[in-house]
Amino acid sequence: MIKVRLLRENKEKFIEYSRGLKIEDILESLGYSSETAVVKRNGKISIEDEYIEDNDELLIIPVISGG
Amino acid sequence: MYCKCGKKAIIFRRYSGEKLCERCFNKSMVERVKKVIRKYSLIEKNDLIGVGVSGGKDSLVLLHILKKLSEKYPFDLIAITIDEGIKGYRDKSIRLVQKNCKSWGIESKIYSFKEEFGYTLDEIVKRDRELSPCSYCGVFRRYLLNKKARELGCDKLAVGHNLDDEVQTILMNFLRGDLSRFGRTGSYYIRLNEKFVPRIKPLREIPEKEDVIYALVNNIDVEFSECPYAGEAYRNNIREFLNKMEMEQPTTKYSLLRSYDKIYPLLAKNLTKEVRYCRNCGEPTIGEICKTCELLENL
Repeated sequence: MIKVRLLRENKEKFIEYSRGLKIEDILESLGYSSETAVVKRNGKISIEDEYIEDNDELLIIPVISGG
Repeated sequence: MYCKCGKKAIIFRRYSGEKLCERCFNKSMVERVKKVIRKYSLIEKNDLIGVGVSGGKDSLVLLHILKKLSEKYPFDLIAITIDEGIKGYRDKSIRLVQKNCKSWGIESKIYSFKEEFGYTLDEIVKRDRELSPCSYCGVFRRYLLNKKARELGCDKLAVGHNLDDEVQTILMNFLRGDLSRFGRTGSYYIRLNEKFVPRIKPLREIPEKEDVIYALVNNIDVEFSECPYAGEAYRNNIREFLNKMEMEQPTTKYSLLRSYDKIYPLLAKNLTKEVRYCRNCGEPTIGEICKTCELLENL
């Protein structure tokens, strides 16, 4: 299981792990893309085409903020 | 993915093909800002630079990078913050401005809508339900930033507009046919009037996403929420369109900026209007009375 925390929405989600899943796939399923979010994987800023491992924790940080 | 130095990369710049680790990314950000400043002579020797700092990621990243540069080059900084009076949002970000300025040793000045105009933005929103909050906020904030920067003796006013902000604005003004605004998103400043402090945008070529990464990498405490009044529908549509295009063609934003920069000298020359002084408040304006005074009469 992958734990995903969405900073903007202040929500936590659990996503079923499957082999070959990349960070960008998770972003897409949550309505984000590599243009609109930065991802921390297990506390470290990560590139979107990295493969996810089971029990990973992702933090989704929205790019659009401020104003 | 690995950086050219062999360390694990934290960013893949799709538009250039670069993969960078934390250290190389940081270095590259400072270099790129320095390059823009040099290319357009945005900062001169002994300048006092007023930096418009809201507490959001862009302005704090700008302040952090300018602080680094000011340790090597002869210019000074002062942070200028406008408190629009947005309860639950701006009060939080102002605390972050004060905290960061204190730890970086930068003087910080805060000016409020309430003190200057008699109303907080929250009060304005309650009084006028026709015009959008952004219509008031944008005009009042620009007015106050310019006035206060001038009173503080600033030579330039630096603002944290990033690549995304710039290309959205360019496209919005073009699509709306607003040509006088279309001619105001330039790379370099034009001294229009002695009462206008030239505005500079050193982050103009930095994608918004890289501002976020820079803030995270450097542990800069920033406000990651969005203004409760944000939601200019037209800008949101343009942003979505540009992000979609960038995903499909990863140089779209830079291409748009470069195209604009090529025609900017012609636009600036032909679309710049004569500047007069508001007969009400004396601040520079294009019309008889300035937009700020006009809006204040509405309230």
